[in-house]
Amino acid sequence: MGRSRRWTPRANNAKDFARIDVLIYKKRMRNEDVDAPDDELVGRAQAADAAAFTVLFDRYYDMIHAFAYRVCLAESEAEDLAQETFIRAARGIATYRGTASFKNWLFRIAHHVVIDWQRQRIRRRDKEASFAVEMEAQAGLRAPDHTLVHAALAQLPADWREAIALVYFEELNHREAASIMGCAEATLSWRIFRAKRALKKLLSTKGEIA
Amino acid sequence: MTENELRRILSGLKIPTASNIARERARHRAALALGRTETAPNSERAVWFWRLTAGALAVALTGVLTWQAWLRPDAPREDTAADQKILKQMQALFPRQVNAVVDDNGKVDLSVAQSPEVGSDQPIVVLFQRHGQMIRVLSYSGHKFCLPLDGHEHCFEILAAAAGGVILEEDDRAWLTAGAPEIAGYSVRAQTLEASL
Repeated sequence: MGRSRRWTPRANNAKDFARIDVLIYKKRMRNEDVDAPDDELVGRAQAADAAAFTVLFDRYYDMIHAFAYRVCLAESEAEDLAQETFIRAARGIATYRGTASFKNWLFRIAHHVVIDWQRQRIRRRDKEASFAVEMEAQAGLRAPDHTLVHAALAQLPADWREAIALVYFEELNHREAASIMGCAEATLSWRIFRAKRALKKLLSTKGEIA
Repeated sequence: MTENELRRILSGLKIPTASNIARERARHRAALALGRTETAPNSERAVWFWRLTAGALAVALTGVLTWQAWLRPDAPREDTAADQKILKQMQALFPRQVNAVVDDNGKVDLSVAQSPEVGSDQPIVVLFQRHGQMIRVLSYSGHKFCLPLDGHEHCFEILAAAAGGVILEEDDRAWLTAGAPEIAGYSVRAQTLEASL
């Protein structure tokens, strides 16, 4: 009843004991790391502490994956984009200076990854990506409201979807979203305005809005 | 559409959960990327970066200078004997009829006159080069030859000038090839071959 499980290392020789010491250290650090603030983890990741970076990864992976999905609207592509974002973050973490929050810094990297994805899409003449989006929309595997919103978002340009994702899903203000997307605040506001107008038109024809 | 309406509608978009395989793969690859960037302290890495960059630039500069020296107007000199041999062979086959021999990257084309009237006093070699493509024309002073350059046919008359120079004429334009002119995107060089034919 309520008995807590303990992690008990076992070893047969000196080499194993040394290895276990490392494992115990890592496990203890991991448990403490879970609650550590971003700045502390980033500082340690900058000093090549993979455990610290892994905690940051676990903390933000779902958020970046969701952002990627909201922009590209395809499961497999979202996974690839999220992975690429974290690879770039790992490579460039030494350049993080703390002028923006780590979360917003990650979003900025994700934004660049999305731009590269869009360029690749254009090069592939939209065939594969559009096909994936279309198939998902037609599959009807999800609830009808999901399909409607998915289909409506798929009609928008990717930079409008990105603006919507940052402002309405990630709850960032226009200034922060504009900074991440590397555009003027007015441009971001204009994208949001046009995206809203387009969504209203698209969804009203499909009966979502009365 | 109000803000609340929009939020309600957008909340209908369900985000698929990333597969564990994708997540683990991403975590592993990101961790590997972290290890790659942090193998040396920043300052030391910067020093190595600049050393390597300087080294690479020096190698590139040497390469470019060597390449330019190789492509100078007098560069085809080492092929002169081969050019003369080709022209001799063509003259043997078509006495006083050879107008020009055009070698376009190994594809050789021969231009001959219908009757044996063509003079062959001063042989000239003209090179047209662009992005690794080389067209080599063997002809004679006072002769005309035509080439497809950049999708258009260009016809030139070549004239031997003083001190081994060559003048290239096309309709109302003329180039002195000693200045390595650029025609239709091709850099052009030419020189007279020894009049030993």
